Amino acid sequence: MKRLGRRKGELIDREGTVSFSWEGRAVSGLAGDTIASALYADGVRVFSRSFKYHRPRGLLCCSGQCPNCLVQVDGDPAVRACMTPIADGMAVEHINAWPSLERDALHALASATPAFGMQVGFYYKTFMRPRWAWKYYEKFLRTAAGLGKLDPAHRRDRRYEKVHRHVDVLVIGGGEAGLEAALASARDGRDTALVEEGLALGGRLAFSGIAAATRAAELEAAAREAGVEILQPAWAGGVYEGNLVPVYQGDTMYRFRAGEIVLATGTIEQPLVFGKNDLPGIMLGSGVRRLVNQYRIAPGEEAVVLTVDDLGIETACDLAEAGIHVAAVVDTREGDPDERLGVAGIEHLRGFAPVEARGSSHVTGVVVARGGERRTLSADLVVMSGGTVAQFGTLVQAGGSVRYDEGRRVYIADHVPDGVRVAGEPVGTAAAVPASAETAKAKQFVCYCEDVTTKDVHLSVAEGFASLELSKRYTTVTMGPCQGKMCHRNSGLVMARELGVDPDEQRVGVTTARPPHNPTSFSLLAGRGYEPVKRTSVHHWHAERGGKMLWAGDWKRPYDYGDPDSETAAVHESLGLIDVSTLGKLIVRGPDAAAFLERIYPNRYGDMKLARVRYGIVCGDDGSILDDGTVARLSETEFYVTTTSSGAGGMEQWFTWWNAVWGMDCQIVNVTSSVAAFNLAGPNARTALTGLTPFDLANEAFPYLGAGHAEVAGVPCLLLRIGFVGELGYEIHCPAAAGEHLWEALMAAGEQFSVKPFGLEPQRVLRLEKAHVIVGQDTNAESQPLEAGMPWIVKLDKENDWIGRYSIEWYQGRGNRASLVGFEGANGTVPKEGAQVVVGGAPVGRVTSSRFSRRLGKAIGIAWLPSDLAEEGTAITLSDPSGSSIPARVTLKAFYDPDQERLRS
Amino acid sequence: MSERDPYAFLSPATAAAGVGLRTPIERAHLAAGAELTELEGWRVAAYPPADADAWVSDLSHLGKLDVRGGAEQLDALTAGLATGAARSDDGVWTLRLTPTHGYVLAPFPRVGALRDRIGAAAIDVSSGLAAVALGGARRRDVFNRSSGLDVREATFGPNRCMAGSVMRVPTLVLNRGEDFLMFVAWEYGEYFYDAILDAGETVGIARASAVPAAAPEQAEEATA
Repeated sequence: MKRLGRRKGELIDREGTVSFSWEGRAVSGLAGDTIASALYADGVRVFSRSFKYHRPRGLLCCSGQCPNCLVQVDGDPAVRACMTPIADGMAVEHINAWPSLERDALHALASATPAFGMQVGFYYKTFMRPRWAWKYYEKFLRTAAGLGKLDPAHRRDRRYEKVHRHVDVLVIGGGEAGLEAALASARDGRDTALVEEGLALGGRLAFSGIAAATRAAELEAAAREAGVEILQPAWAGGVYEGNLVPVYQGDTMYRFRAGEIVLATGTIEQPLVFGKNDLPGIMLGSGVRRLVNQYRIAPGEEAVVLTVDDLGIETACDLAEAGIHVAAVVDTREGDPDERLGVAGIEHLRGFAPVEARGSSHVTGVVVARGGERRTLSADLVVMSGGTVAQFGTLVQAGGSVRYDEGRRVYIADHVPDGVRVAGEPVGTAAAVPASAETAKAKQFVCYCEDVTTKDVHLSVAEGFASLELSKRYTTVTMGPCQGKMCHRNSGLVMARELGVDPDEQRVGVTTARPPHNPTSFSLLAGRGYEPVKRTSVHHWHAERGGKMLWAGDWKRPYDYGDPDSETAAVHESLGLIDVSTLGKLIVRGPDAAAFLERIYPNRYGDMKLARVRYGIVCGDDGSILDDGTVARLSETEFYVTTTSSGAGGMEQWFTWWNAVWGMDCQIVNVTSSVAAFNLAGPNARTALTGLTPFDLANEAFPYLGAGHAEVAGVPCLLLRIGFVGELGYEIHCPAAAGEHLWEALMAAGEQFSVKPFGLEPQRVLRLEKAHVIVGQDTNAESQPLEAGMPWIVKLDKENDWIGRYSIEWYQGRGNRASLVGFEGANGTVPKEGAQVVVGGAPVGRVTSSRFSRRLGKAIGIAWLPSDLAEEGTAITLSDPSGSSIPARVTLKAFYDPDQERLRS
Repeated sequence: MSERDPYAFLSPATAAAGVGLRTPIERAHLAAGAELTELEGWRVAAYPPADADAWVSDLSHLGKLDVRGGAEQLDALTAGLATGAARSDDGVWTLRLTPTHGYVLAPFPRVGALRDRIGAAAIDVSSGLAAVALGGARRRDVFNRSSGLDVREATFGPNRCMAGSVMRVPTLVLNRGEDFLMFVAWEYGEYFYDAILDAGETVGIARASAVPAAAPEQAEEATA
């Protein structure tokens, strides 16, 4: 198609050619063209198929507000062709049609079987019977539905970014009001950004005439000169708490935090409701003017303009100026013919309204009426100017509200929240559904996205959905890609007509304008995938030596090094080394430190001697076990507390909170990050360590539960004579920066004893042999120490109060109902963790830990069961998830070294 | 157990010569082809100079003290620094994060003496906080891809500090004028460094040495 002559404000570069493909066919456009304008210039008229009926749809708004030109571009679905500039090599394809856009089998099906299941609410009414057929329906529906196809095998190598921005003022909308607001703000010295969705600034000015285009260009130049940062084309996705506005531009999502948001979102021209108002060739006036004035395309040869206001008259004048014959302007308003039309030689039909369009795959004319008078006008272009509505979605999202102005018969801004300002006068035009259209026999669409017709609205009202907010859940009007931009007003007007009321907020209401404002890809929402990972100072040593590094909370830890059985055996028989740097570590210090710990823990710390370690559990107010660990006394006023790995942050908060509540002279410092910790365990631990330190490790000098400062391999360390794994062991704490050095020194010193590093899995076996509880695995939010087999740690005779005391005293008075006990499998079978303890076929308890101990040659575990079964030697039955029954016997002692001889050796 | 210094095991400053202290980012440096050199007892990364609009450097070897106390005590220790302010004196940075919490940053060899001078209020967190410097003309572009904190010149100028989320982890940020010096938990060091590099990829971020290359005249003096 030959372009119209040059004009100020046109967006195309006539010297530049861009080649792309449409449906596999090579097409060329001009630089500056959108996909839509280039294809239209190439003769394409059908751009998509409608959602339900698969009716052909052509360009409508040319401004990204309607669903009619959604296409698939280079694998990206639901791309708005009218907002996307063409690029060399771009591959554009249709969506939602089969086998082709021109001949769609589903349209043929819908046309041939008009009664088949697609009426309003069909989601709830059809495809229900016969029930066995649903699997076939589902397959068909999944194939037919959607707005494009994602290729699951397609590897995304595009880079999607999130960029945080802070500005004093963010202006949403680059029309005349937005540009003026941004200019004023920038000239006031405020850091100002402006977001404009369209490809040209100035809003309606940009396509409304030479003088208007000049004014738009001047405003833009002034704004840029004043320092306004202009993001264009870019769109604001919504307004969130704290004046957060996501702005999407290309493959980047900007997260703007603005001191003030200026809403200059303007108005959107609306379609008119009449028969077959969706045919290709029926377009909005603003869309036509964009094609004519910005892309210099003649959208038809013979036009009819249907209007309710002066915008239609301006459109007709633009068409006439471009050399397109305008057969008539059909104006719903009564009055004398407009002089401008008279000058242009265009007939002005006053008081007429459209009834229905003519044509099947493209419009060929339109029937209009005035009372009983009917006229049929031939046209290959029918222009709709159904008035405008203000865009208040972002205002409502920001916490504002709108109300119906009965005088002007439009919705207007009511409450505007602090930090938000509305620029311009986005009022819109009063409009009504033409009464003449009621006589149309063809479908009259109120919602292009979801194929909702006036008949659908009628049916929904008849079925009791008597407000727009309710009705939308039934008809799905406003729930498509346009999110109500093309259908909110008209569906409200049709509903008001059905109900015989005003379309106000009380009787018809408005729907909730939820973000995002436009179709958005999940890739943009996700951005780059940053997943914080905690690594110990020895992480890479583990990985480089075959450690299976698995997530353990926020950390990566070695599960094992390939042979967990031999790692377990090494600890029992000679020497093993495990990285326990993930333990939480807190310093509690100050004159009240001991008193503070007395209040936190159920056991005693005030009487604790210097250089000693004590096991402790932390309970909540309800007596439940929150965490466990050890406490070492470093001095009279300083304690070193370890917590579980996952409990470090929580315990820091817990300690800090209570310290603030009690107002004690005590400080809590989390030193988890600063300290690496290793457990050297096994019968040869003392001998191996002796060679690295002058510290006296003899049992008499440094007995079980001792603590001491020592230099080990040149590194300052804190030694704790404790162990989780049941053999002689030393927990060695040192500065993280020296962690790998110390680890390597320990491994070298242990070489003569065939030392093995051991991972989490061997550690779980070793601790289970000792029946040591893992808080969070063997306990849950209801577990309290009396029932969890730790009554010995609860010192109810302590003088002071402590957290959980009241509840635990109450539990003691009540008596235990459940008990956490050990069990040995009677036949060697290891029940799965989670297996049930059953009595008489009914579940009464559950297995929390289970393993096969090669050292002991039997299956062992820990389980909750009724307290009356918690007797040494009681026979119990475990029901595995597989359904098999496993006989077992209760034990109340550690499975391995119950008298602690090895641990204390 | 010694009562003189109950926190000796926290402080790498007392490690024997030859221990070779390592930053948590060492393996990332080696994987990127950096050479490791010795600096004040640490193994630090050396990269060839690069001309880039943004650069990132591992400064985890800096000495760091966590200072806590009453507001009046912090007033005295920081010489009246306001909350969110920082000051540099003779190579030592003092940061006042809250009325009762601050940090002191210093060359590593000076940490012991500084800790002695400050007293019990200071805990050596030299190996508790990894330090990553982000510099270059486009450092704010990179930072904005990493964090929602407001680091505009007008709101977070030189000698300002704040705590917040950067790359989804808790971070202390100090604007030293020529760079943003960011501190995260030691265990996050490698993740954080990698993430900042990724965020800066589109602006061509470069890895920089822990110790800036000597200026030509300085190098000549050293040679002479």
